[in-house]
Amino acid sequence: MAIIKATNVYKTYDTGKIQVKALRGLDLEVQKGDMIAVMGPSGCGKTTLLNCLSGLDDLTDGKVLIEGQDIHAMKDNPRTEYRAKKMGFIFQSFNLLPVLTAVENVELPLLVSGMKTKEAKQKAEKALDLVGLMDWKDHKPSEMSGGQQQRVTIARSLVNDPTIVWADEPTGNLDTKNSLEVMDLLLELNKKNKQTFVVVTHDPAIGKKCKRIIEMRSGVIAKEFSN
Amino acid sequence: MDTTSFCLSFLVVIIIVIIAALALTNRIIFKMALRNFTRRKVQSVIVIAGLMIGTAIISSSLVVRDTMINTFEVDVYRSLGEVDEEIWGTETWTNALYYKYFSESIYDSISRNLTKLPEIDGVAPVIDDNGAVFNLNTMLGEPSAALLGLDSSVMRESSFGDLDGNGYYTDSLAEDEIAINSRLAEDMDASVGDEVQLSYGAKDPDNPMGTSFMKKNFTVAKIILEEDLYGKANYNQRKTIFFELDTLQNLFNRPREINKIWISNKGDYREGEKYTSDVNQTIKEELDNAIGISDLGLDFHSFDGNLVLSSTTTGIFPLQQAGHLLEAAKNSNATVMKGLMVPAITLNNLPIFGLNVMGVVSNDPVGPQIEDNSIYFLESVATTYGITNGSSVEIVTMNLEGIQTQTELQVFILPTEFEGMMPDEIRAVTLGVVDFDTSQYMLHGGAYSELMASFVMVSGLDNVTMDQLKDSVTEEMNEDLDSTILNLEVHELKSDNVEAAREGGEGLGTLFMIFGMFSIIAGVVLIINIFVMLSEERKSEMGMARAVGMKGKHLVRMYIFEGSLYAFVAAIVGALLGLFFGWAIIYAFEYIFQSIEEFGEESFNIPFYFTWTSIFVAFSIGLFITFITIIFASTRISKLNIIRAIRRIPEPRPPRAKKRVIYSGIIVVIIGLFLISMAFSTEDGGYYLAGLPLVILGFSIIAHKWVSIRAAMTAAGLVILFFMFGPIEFSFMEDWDFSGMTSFVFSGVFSVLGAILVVMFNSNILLNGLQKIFGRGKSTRAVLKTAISYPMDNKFKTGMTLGMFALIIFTVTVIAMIASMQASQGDMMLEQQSGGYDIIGVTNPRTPFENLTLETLPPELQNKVDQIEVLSQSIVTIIDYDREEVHITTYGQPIDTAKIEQYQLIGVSESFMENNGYSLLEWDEERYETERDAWNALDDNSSLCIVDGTKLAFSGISVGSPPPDFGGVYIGSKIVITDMGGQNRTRELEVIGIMDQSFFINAIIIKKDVVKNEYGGVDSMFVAKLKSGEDADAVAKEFEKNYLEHGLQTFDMKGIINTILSLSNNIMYLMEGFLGIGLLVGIAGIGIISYRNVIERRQQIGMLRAIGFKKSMVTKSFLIETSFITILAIFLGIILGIGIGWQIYKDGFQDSGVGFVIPWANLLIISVIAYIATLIFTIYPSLKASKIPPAEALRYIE
Ligand SMILES: Nc1ncnc2c1ncn2[C@@H]1O[C@H](COP(=O)(O)OP(=O)(O)O)[C@@H](O)[C@H]1O
Ligand SMILES: [Mg+2]
Repeated sequence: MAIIKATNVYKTYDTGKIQVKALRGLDLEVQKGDMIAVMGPSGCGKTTLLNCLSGLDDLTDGKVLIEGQDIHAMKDNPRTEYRAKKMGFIFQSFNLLPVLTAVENVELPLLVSGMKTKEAKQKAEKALDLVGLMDWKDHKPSEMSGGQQQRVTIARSLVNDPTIVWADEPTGNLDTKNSLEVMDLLLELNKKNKQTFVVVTHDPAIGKKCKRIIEMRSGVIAKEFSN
Repeated sequence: MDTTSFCLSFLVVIIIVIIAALALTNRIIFKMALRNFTRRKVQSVIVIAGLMIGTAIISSSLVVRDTMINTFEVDVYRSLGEVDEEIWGTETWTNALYYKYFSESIYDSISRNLTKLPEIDGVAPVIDDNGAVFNLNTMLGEPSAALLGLDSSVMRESSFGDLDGNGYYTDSLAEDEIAINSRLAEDMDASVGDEVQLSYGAKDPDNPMGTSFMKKNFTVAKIILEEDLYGKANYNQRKTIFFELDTLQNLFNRPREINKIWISNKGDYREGEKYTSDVNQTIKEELDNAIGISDLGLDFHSFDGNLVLSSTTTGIFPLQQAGHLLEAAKNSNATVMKGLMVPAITLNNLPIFGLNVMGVVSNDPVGPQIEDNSIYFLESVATTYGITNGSSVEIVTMNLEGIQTQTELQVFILPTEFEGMMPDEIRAVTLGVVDFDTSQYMLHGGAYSELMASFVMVSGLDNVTMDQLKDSVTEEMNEDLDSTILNLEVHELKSDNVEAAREGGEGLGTLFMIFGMFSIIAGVVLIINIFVMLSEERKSEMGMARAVGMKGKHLVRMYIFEGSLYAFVAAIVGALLGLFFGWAIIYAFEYIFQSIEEFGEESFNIPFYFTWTSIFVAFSIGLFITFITIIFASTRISKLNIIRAIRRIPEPRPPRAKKRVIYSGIIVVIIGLFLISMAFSTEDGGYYLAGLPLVILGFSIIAHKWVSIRAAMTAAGLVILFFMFGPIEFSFMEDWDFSGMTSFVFSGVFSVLGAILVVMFNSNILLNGLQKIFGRGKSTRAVLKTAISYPMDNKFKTGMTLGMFALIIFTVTVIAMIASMQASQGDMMLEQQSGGYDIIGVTNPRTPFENLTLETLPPELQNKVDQIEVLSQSIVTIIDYDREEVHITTYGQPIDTAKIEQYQLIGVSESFMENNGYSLLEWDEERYETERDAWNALDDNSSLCIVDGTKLAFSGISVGSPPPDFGGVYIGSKIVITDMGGQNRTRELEVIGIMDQSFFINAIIIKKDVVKNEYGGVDSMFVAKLKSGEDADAVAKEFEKNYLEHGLQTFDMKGIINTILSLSNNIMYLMEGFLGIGLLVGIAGIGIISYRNVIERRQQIGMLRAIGFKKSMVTKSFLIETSFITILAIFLGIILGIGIGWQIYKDGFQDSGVGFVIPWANLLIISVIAYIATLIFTIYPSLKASKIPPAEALRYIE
């Protein structure tokens, strides 16, 4: 069964003056354990798709089933809880809380879902170890390089053992060397944990590393490749 | 425009010019600033709201000042009208409240010369006296109405004009008619046509120094509405009866006598005052010139070719006044005879009418040689009364005070040839002749050091004629005489009162300003906070601008431009808002005063009034403060590191102090030392309280070179707190004043600083604790983590916010504590001030009680009164007294510690000493075991006294407890008093007790007999204790009614004290309310900061939502963050406030026996309100933030 099943998804932004049709009847299925890359030019609707699929944003029309559940039918609180338990997020701008240390940032999702402090800390340290940042665990984001920060984000997105990890341009703010390193890390984790990864990117070098590539144009899927 | 506002406008102009010049040369930057200013409207509004509060506080204080000055000034104008100066003197031989009468000829002379001056447009003769009046139609009365006699012809021709503003003059009154003002009419419910009975004291035709008590009925012919009148029928704003001058002169048996002269200067009632300084010298000179021997009541006439000087008014004059005559007589070898007439009452118990004992002494060798202890009867008198030569008689005479004196004398019959030497009119009233010294004794019992005479007769001159002698002596005597002989003075009433009005209003405004100081300081802290936040937020923007080539100074300029725009708008809005706050305060004031029944409603109108100058001054000061703060905040920006700015990385803190830091530490130490030296030179301890913490802080900054910042600052904080609250007093501080407002302000600011240093640099201990306690709940773990990490990440900002709020809570706490201590002092004060009595009464001293005891009270009063004590009153001159001199200041103003020259002397009976409930603050405990023993000692020893609680340190009333240690007399002090009549009845009194009481009785208290016999004391005062359950106010009114003819005024003491207490409590509450504005600053400040936080963290909120924060968790996180700061600040503020409150208690309240109270309920309410208000301010933005869809929030900024 497909872990993500989107049918006829529409998303229209109504800014008052103009209406932007960001998604126009898009269909998509992603199988469990897949790692797919969503590609396309800037403004084609990649981020919108990601937000709509993950439930961060509402749909204008259509249906999205995650593990067979219609997340858009859920109320905000259960949906948020669902996110906390089942999903991980990686964003382009690293999106760590500047006032927390690396380990504190990583343990935050665990604390949210009610884990005890000590346990959360152990798990967070393990996750940091996984991304190779044990030595940096007590540093604040502003004291780390971009690549390091993004690895903290990755550690955070994986710390709660999510079924799906959403990554929106995870390498967008990184140089090539760091980008490839981060991408390799993601691939490695995907392989090891059998988690589903949806990675938005416009970097072909990154896209090539994924099993399946979706090419978007003006709110619909234009092409699909498999590696 | 005064100098302050001139300087301020100069400053404003300079600021504007600089900004304008910079704007013109940096147009692009100015445009960018302008765009920033208009870009985010809501944010601009919020920033302006934060910036304007300080200005609003200054402005409202000034408006309060303006209104108060105006109210007091208008009061002066309404009382005095056209009257600018007055000439009058007070009676010296009795209670000093009465105007002394003098001859109208003085007015004639003064008026003739003064009206020639261009600056003077009116001089009028006036009688201003008192009487009791009773409406026979309504049976309502007024014990103390003013009786005003005016000369209509003079009024018509001068600027004083009519009485009612509609052409009414008193010469339209018939002999038995009066005009009254509506104040009096309301009081006794009178209408035109009512018959009223007037009781008054007239001059006694038989005893020129006495007063005879008279009654006469009048018809009310006119009621004058004095509303809206300036002066005229509103003179002194009293309940007044108006007469034509000569009607009143006849009534009082004082033809051609007046007791006041009114002088009006050029211009209307407002302008006249300006000319006072031009004319006062001339008026004084004219007054001195106008006084001649006739004003002393002396007159020359001839008898049988001899020249006689005698008194026409009193019949008696001090012999000293005849000095020039005696001198001239001696020079021409003349014969001089001096005589003194003493009124006789009985002879061998037979009543005698109209005859006097005449004492004589003469240097005529052929004159009668009069033996001591003998009386030489006129033959006719001896025959009438059957007195024979060689017998002895008992004669009772009346002395100066009207007291009867009995003398036993040996009888001789006066040879007829001597009888022929007496002037006829003297012979007709003479009983017999005694030795001059004997007559002196009869007249005043030897108490007068000076000889008195009724006449001096000179005869047998060598080389001048009688007329020549008369003229030359008159001239010499007139020369000598000046206004002091009549005790007349020129009173610059208008200008003195207007000045007092200004000072009063100024004082109140200053009080508000000082109380507002904390709010202003909090406002400045808020401004800094806002600008730091703005610069944080714009960091990347500015970094970008730097990166594309903008120089640091350009950025600073852009910031200054934007800041100036904020500052200008905020200063304007703040000044106007202050106008509104001021209006609200005045409204509250008026409400408080009017809610107190005793004052009546219309008497306390406080019309709102302000001057644009004040608004401008507030605007300028506000602008200036904001501007300085902005410049300070802007310079930080120029030091921005471009890369760090773009990437929003905080500026790194060097782990150890650099040289620059050490220098700044040294500077702080130097400033601190300078302030401490100020404490030495001004003796104002407040500077010490500012200087010492700065020195400590400075040294810690330097110490930071060797130890961690945490260790240095924690130590600094602790040491500062220790010095603020620890029991540390050095000997050099002994004379320093720690009660001033500088002490209050600085101890607040620096103890808060100390506490914040300790808290902020040890926050992790606090946080770990918090997390242990609250971090257990499943849902709170993550929320608590974020909530507390944010404020702890930016310690500067959090410290400032905490400090701002703690400072305000601190002030509110202190004021609440003072208010509650003052309130609990009330009950004690009630007992102390009333001495256990319920009512106190004072009569017109001219009509004292004759024989007031419980038994002589009318039956209806007897049933209600439990105890009554009559006190004798007199006024004495204090020649000297021992006292401690303490220079105290209240709110920075030194209290006048000039020595008191005149004071009330009160004589008390044995029964009063035995029964009174007046407690003593101190007494001579070595000699007297109990307070009662001290009271009773007054009876045994007439050189002992007890004084009231003001200790003669200052005259006037002190509401509440007098300031502690305010000097004055002490136990064992010697007070030397003498009578005011100049008869040299001097006594030295030793202070054996000081009363707690200071309100109703301000007097030196001694044994009654001495006051009555030596100082002309009269029974004009009583205190009474009522039977339980009696209504003091009602009984007081009943007393007034029964003793209306004495002009008795009675007061319900406890009622009055309660009124005053509630008034001062209410004013305290008003102050608390004013501090509420400060609280508003704090609350708004925290609101602004949380609003800014929400905006700043939008993207982070999106991320939190993405990783699983529910909406409610986001809101909670913000609320906990605010709560953390607010509760910590409230906690610190209250703890520190209680600390300072304790010190205030020790210095100001402990001595009066009040217990230390912490108004927990009050503080709890204030804290809860403040806390909830900040929460409300935070809930809105955080709720809004939590509602943003996460996808939306994440997109923000990019
Ligand atoms: N919140 C929004 N409001 C209005 N328009 C939006 C919003 N989010 C995205 N858009 C528009 O929708 C289109 C798709 O945007 P997006 O999904 O962010 O593109 P991509 O991620 O592929 O660059 C763009 O034209 C963008 O301008
Ligand atoms: Mg995108």
